[in-house]
Amino acid sequence: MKDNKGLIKNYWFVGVIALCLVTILGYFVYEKISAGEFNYLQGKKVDGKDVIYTIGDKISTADEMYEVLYEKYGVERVYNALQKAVIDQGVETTDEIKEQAQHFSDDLIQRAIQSYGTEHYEAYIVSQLKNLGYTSLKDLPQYYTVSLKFNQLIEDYVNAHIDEVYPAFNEAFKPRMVSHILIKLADPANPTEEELALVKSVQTALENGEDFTKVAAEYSQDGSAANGGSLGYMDITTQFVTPFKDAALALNEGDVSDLVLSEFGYHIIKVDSTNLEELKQQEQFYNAMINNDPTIASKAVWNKAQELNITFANEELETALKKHMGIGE
Amino acid sequence: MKKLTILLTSLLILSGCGKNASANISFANDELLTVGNTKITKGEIYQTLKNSGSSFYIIEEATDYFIEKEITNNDALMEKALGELENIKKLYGDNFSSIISSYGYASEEEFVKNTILQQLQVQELNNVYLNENLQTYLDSYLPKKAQIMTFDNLDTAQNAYVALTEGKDFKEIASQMNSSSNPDELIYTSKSLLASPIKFYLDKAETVGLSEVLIDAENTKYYLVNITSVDPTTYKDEFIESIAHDQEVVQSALSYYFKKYNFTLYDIDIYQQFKESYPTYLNQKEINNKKVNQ
Repeated sequence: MKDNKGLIKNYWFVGVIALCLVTILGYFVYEKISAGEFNYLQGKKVDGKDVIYTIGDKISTADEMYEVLYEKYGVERVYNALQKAVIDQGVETTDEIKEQAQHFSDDLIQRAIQSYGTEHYEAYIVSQLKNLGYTSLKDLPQYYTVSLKFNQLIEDYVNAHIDEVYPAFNEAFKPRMVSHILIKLADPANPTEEELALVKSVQTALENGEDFTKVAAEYSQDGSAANGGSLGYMDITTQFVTPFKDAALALNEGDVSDLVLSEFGYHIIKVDSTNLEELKQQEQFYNAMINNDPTIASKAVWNKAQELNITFANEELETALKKHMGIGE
Repeated sequence: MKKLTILLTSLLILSGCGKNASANISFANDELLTVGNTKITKGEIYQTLKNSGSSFYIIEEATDYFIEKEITNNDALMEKALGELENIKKLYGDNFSSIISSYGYASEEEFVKNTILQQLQVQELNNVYLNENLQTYLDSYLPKKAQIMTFDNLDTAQNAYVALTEGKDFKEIASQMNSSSNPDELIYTSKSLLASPIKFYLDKAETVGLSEVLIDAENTKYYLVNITSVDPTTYKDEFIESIAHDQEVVQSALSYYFKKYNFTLYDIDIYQQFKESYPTYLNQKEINNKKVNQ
């Protein structure tokens, strides 16, 4: 009795703390039970296999679901996984790529917030990422990193096989760099004297040998004037008005067109370059190459996979994958 | 002191532990291919398939199960399906085979089984559900059989009314007086898309008979409504057929069957998919989705 009294006297503070802890924990557990937070989804096994769902007397296992879904979508998913593995190992993640990926990620988040609000934007983005094998918003920069590295992979492949892939593309798409000088017409069917005078000034300047870029900067009446009239890359798929596009595609490198009338006014068009090395500096060039030949992307993946040494568990998968990629035996 | 320590530890464990189940395939480690230093396994592919294809797969399989359990007149449905096949073949003529082939069907039989028959079976599933829950839908839809005439001119409407009170045939008068609406006897419900005066009249009506001219001042239209039946039990099958395709009914039917057959999921990712897209199919209590062991 005497010992207990001494114990209580010396350790009473510990007893108070312990009592407080027990009370707090007990309340915490009670709250969780009330809120159903101890309700976790139970698993189930049948003959050692994980069950996905049961309905009535039907039991459906993960193995069964895999077999059905693999038959429909398996090869496509294997290709996506292969592509990711090839990109991860075969393309360097440069600082430029990291920076761009973060920029694209931040930009998408801002746009998603504007469209879906701060409460729902994350769910929207994550649902899109899940279809691509990612799991959370944190994976978004990684998604963009992979996309940018994929673009790099394709560029490297195209550059390494340019003699194979460029001639047909060049003939079909007519890629070029173009500039123009635009003189706007309020009513293209009835140009005013003032407008015609401006046209004359431009034509005189060009005839006198003045540099096209300078004349465009001085006289052109659209945003390209700030770039000396440069409109950059174009090909047959570029969304220009028909008279402009037809005229631009008919010119050779260095040619300057006569007046071309469109709904916007008079254009004088110049083809700045059809030089391959200059075209290769343009992102649209590679996108257009893929539009012309969609197998370029999968050929790029396959080429790099072979460099990294790819082996298959069975021939059927290799055949199915190649068929899916549109590449020959 | 020892007992106190045990008590505190137990409470800590209780509050922190617990893990939602995640179903995996038994051959997850089987390799599909290796490239460089990366192995791509069946388990990895399974996860991507589960994340984007599993809920649709499950609903398809579950619907097949419901059809197997609930539908007893498959022979009659197959006969009907074959009849529809003939109509489709007449419509597409010589192009029929190439059209079904372009959709991935290897044969006519496959097309009938996976498209026409399946649609009929799903409709029948809805019919079974509606029959089992008929009173609920009668109370909600308040169906009535009626004929409707619509006119732009009050005098014409009134003349039509007089003719009908003299015993003339509704459809004949509608044709003679150029009514702009379908004068056939149809089933109308509280959810039918009707002009307000007609809707108001039908919802209130308790007996058969002809309305006076109903005036729609907003649209300058004049209506006559002839209610031919207020007892839906006499045209139960027609009523069911008229609403069986309503999206609300289709969803309710599936929810009903998922509940009836005690649908239970054993994978948290799939549970979340259903919770987001098909919450009414779930029977399980709200699951704690906090991932404790991450």
